[in-house]
Amino acid sequence: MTHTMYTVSPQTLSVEIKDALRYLSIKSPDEGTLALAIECIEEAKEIAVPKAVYVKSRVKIEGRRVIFDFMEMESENLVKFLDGYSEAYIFVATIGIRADMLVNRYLKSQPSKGVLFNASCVAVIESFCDRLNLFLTDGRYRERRYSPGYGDLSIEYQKELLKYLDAERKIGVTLTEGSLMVPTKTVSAIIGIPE
Amino acid sequence: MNIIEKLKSGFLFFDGGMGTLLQEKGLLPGQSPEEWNITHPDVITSIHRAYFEAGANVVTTNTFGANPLKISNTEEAVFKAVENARRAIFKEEQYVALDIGPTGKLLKPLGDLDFEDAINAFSETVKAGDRAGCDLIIIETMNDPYELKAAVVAAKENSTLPIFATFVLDENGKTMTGCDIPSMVAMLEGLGVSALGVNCSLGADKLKLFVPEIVACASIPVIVNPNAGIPCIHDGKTCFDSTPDDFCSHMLDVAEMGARVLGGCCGTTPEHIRKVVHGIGNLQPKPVVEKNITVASSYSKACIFDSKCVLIGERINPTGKSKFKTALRENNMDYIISEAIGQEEHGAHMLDVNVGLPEIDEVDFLTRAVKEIQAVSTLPLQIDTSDPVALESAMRVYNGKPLVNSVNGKEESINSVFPLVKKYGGAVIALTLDEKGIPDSAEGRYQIAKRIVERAEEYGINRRDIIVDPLCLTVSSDKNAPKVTLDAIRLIKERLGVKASLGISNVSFGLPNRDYITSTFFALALREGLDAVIMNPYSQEMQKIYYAYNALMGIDEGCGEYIAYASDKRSETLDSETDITLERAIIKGLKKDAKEITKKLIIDTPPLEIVNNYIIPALDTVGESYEKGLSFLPQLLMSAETANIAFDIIKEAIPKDENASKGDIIIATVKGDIHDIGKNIVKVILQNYGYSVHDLGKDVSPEAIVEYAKKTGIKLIGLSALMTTTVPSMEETIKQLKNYDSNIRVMVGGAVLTTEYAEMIHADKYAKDAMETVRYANDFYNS
Repeated sequence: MTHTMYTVSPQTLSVEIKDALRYLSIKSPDEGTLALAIECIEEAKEIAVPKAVYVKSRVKIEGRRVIFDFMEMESENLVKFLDGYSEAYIFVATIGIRADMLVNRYLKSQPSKGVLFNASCVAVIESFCDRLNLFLTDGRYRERRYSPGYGDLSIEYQKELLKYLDAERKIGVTLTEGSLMVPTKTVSAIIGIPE
Repeated sequence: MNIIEKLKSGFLFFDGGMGTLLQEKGLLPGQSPEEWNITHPDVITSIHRAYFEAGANVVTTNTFGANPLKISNTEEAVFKAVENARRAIFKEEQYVALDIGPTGKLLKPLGDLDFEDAINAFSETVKAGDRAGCDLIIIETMNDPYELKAAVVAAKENSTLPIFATFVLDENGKTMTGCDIPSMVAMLEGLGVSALGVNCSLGADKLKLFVPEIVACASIPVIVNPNAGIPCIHDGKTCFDSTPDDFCSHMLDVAEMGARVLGGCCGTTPEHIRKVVHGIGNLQPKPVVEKNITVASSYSKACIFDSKCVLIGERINPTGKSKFKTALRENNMDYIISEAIGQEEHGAHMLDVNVGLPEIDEVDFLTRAVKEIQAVSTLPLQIDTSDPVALESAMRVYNGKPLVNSVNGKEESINSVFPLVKKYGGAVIALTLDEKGIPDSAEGRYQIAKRIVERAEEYGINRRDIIVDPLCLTVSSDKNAPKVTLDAIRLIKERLGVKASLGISNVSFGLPNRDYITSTFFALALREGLDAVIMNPYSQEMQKIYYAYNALMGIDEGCGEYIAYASDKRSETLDSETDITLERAIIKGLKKDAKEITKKLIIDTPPLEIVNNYIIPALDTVGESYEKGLSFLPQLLMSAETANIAFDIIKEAIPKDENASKGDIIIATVKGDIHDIGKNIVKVILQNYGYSVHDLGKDVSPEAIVEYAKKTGIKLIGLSALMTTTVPSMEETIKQLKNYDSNIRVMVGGAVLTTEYAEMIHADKYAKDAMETVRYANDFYNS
């Protein structure tokens, strides 16, 4: 089993303004918000350092449990999600800590920009995950992935998952005491591999 | 020969990867490699032995993750690891390096690990390694300069072994936290490590691109330990990493560029090291050259004292500023942060931080101010205090190489400041005064400067880290004073070869339109070679001199900076609408208009009338529109920011005793949760509506919140939690608050909460957004 690193040039990520605005439930932005959103997305792409690490694993389902090559997870939602798949990819992807640093700064200096910049960073990491998703499924799935913390899949699995993926050393992702990932613009997820 | 002598005599070869080799021998991914020091000692020794046989001079112990935050038996693992490495030695000049990797946690404020806790964790590893008998300590694979600093401080406090330190760069030549090479080198040299460099993350082909810059900055030996053989897919293309032969050829380039310590990291094997050792053969390394660079650094930027004068913002200082003093007394950190950001936006290169006021606890406040400012500003800081305890505390938590303001010619000052500079690193402003006062002559000031420089060198501090301030006295009380200062700058620079700085504003004290005098004096001092100035970045006169001087003296290439500055000034006309009211300016978020209109209104309108007739109605209109979904969060905040500008002007006009707040509210993100965006938004809006918000931050324990409520007697508390996993922590906080005082009211918010959920955990109110919080606060304080 090999860990593979996956990176992209951030400027090649497609991030639409509506993606960023969606996280703030903005449907029809005024002119000022729109201009600020454009500025934020550009800046978010500039400071993003997209990096991911992934592994491939066999999938075995026993009752409520999903058994990977390296760990087990108990979750009915995940069982359902992986039903019919014999293999899966497990990845951790991040755009790095500088996003968090700048969000903090803008929230202090200009909160209106802070919230838009935060939403832009979320849009960038999601776009990066979509790219990875498409890559791993040969273009079949863009958004189909499942993460610890969704449904009944406990967030406590992060610890073992990150350790196995060597995410700290490989891409600089750490966990807090409460199992939250830092950098916060980080996603860990499981993707079923289509036959 | 000890390791330092060996380093002076020629190349030093480190070993390569450990993890991949252990996996070949059966270690499963996710398993702790440190455990194998105890369970498989022979395997570990055989790997070390293979590296020594390949020609490595130094093997690193299998202790990358051996710290108490990752494993439970640090001491045992380290002892066994050192024993396993020592057993591999078979001849002279083979050394064992205690390997120290990151804690696996990010430090506050980004993560949840406290700086002192990081030092404590590293200290345990260092103590064990030191006792077990290592020849040196290698701190490696550091992504964050702050964590690296914690490790170096721990090593210095618990061992006298030489310290080598390597950090990780990404393809842009920066660390994960955005730290560039000059800043990293400045901090590490300041801390006094014996060698520094890079490891991990990139292969030799990519990592070598950054070696010339590291060598150009460093005055000590440079280490390069790249990866090999890690598969990577970049922009859809698979990159194949180097074979041992490729690796070797890149490493020969690295040696040619001036690196002296060569080895490998992840994926490299004894074969890689053997090739490198053979490839180098009898070559001699490039000599290590002392660089005469004066530099201070932040976590990301280095400020080099070079051809252009360094502008050091003076505004974070209570002297003569009643608003600032009030902010200090009220523990108002936001005010200080806004001064920091404001000065940065006005072109300051560094920030002076002085929070000395007799009635506040300067040690605590200065330390917190440094932490808060470095969390939001990229500028290097100048720590300004006369209290050595406050100085040490602030230097310790500072994320970079600070500038210290100041030392002077008094023995007491020298003996309290220089040991701290030696320990934590730093450049120092040296004032030319001593027990006898300030000499009247330039020669006298030079003599004091000379003595300070000599005493610094006795402490092992290089003179390039001394920046002499020959002091400028007030021209209105002594007509010759400015001339003496100018002469002293020239003398000191010529004869001592050190940099010069001035706290310049004093020259014009007591005169009208002080800027005219100060800025002209600035121009004269620049001509004498002034390297840095402590000044007011908001002063247009000073900025004009700075940009014009650089253009005129040919140090602003193509007058680029001057043009950018001067054109920007011209375009600073308002983006205003005509005939606009304050109410409309706030609704539309037009900050410049709001400022101008408020300034006019305040002349003949009572302050409270402006608040009640214009600002509050405007905020209500925006709030209502937000709640109806007609406008959105950024607009709500934009209006809040605009209203704040108006409030700032109004506050100055209100007599102190009338400036009463509508009420006090504590807010915090609960223990275990580090998401604080929602909480920060609520704070901004509450402040807008006239509440004094006591923001305790994020990841705050129930005990700390109860303690604060006890101390202040505040009865309204807002808690935020974003994750289902942190709601129990919220519940516990509410329980403790209610146990302490059943009259306390708790409002809660956050992504996962609902009215039902809030009831379940006994909160008094679930507020779905900032406006609802305001309404609940209004009800609470009006009933």
